[in-house]
Amino acid sequence: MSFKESIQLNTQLGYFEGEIPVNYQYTLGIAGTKFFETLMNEGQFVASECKTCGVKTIYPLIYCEECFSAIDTYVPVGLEGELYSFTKCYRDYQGKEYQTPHLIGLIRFEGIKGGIIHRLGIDDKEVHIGMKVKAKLKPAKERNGTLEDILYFEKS
Amino acid sequence: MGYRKVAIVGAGITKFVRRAQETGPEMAYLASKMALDQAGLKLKDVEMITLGSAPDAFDGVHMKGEYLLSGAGGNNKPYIRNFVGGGTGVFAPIHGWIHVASGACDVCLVVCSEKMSSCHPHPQGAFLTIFDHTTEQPLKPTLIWIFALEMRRYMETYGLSKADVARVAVKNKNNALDHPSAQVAEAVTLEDVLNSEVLAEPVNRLDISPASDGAAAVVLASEDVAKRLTDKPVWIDGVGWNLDTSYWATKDLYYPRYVEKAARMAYEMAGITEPHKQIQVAEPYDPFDYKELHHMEGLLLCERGEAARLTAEGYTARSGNLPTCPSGGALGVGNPIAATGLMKVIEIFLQLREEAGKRQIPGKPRVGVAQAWGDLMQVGTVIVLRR
Repeated sequence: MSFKESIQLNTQLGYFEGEIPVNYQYTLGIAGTKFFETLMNEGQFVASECKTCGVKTIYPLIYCEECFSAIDTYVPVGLEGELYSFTKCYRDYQGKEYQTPHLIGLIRFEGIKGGIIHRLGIDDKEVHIGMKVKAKLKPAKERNGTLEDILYFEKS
Repeated sequence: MGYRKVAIVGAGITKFVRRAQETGPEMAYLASKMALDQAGLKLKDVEMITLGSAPDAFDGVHMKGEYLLSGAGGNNKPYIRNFVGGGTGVFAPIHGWIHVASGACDVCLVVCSEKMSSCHPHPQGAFLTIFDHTTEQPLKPTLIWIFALEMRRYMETYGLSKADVARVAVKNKNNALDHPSAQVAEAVTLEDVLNSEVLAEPVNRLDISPASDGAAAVVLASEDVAKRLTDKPVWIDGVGWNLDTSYWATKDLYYPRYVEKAARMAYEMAGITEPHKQIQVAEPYDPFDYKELHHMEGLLLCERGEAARLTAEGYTARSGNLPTCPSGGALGVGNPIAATGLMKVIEIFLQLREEAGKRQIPGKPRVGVAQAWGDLMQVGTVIVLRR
């Protein structure tokens, strides 16, 4: 058996250090550009609308997941939705404890397939599934067309 | 051998570009929808889907198969990703063939999508970790290094000059001028290729295909369904794939024996005993110009060491006895890894249907072969098509 189960650190063995030396610039895509440009410029969300089967989706898509038709219609959704689920988180992805726990929610919008996951700016004694919430955006001149244009969702 | 007959009944391909605005799933959708439209089918008619895509590190998305799922029409269907590095684009339709030939389904959508532009400063950084982490990575190799070693050994073995090899780049980049998806089509001359920047001797910039974004898709159908859908089905007559050792330094660099093994598997299935006589059009994988020559020999389309001479004589031009890469190949159309291989399969499909437009070769070709190659210089994937 060659597995060094009792060794706690690779540095106690023969080893080489390595990395994958790249970083990424993810394009927003056709539908993503529409969503984030509308968020930045008009301060609201848009969903894609399938003209064939009527399904509206957020985040928007250029195709309908239901009937596979092409989509180029986008409809405003406003900023208000309903809290579908939530969690209170204590540690980050490296295991480090947050200074204050993060409240994260999945927000859905009436008549729309899909939803938005984001921070909740809500007292954790008040938060509950089904509550009406509204996105709090950065001031217009500070928005740059990213997910961070949304500060958090608050009680509406 | 108990396999059902399988035909290609529709194909779709996006433009190949250096940087697409579309996301990976959006590109996958555009190619998939085109293929379904050409086949006269809706997504609901598709029973199974297979998706080919290169390493996750290119897109910077782990679980890339799942990432591309809905764009490839895979939601709530039997869907699976396949992957053999650069060989993926020809393996993907082989994988789809397995689905239909086995009787598991009658209609299978095959999608390949690749977005290399997300990766900065260059996808070469992602390639670094395909090399052995202890015996090669410390040298910080690039793919071009190892291809330079292979190219030089190939040239030395057969006494070839740089010009002998560069004629492939000239042919393919010029052929690509007639391909609507082409990224780097150019009316280059032999001097242009020979005088382009040296990257790692003997490899110059114009010896190499570019990094690309793009997607391609085909629809496969069983015999009954294919005959209902079209009067021009193109049959998948033979498939083969083979992987050589991952210790690539142990291989004979001048000859891709794994491609030969894959080709022999496909030819046996297709009843091809004299490939150079029975095949009228070929799309060998050409990420580098010398690789087309290498692969022509591995595909048994000519004797070892003869491919360069045949190229110089015009034998592989569109007007020649055995046109190779009439599409323009990876060197001219571009190289969004998995989508490139499927682009080659689509080119053979179009040539056999005599629907290749300005690229159409004369003589009503009946049998063609497409091939891809990849992983760590170790995989050959081969598909034989017949009209």
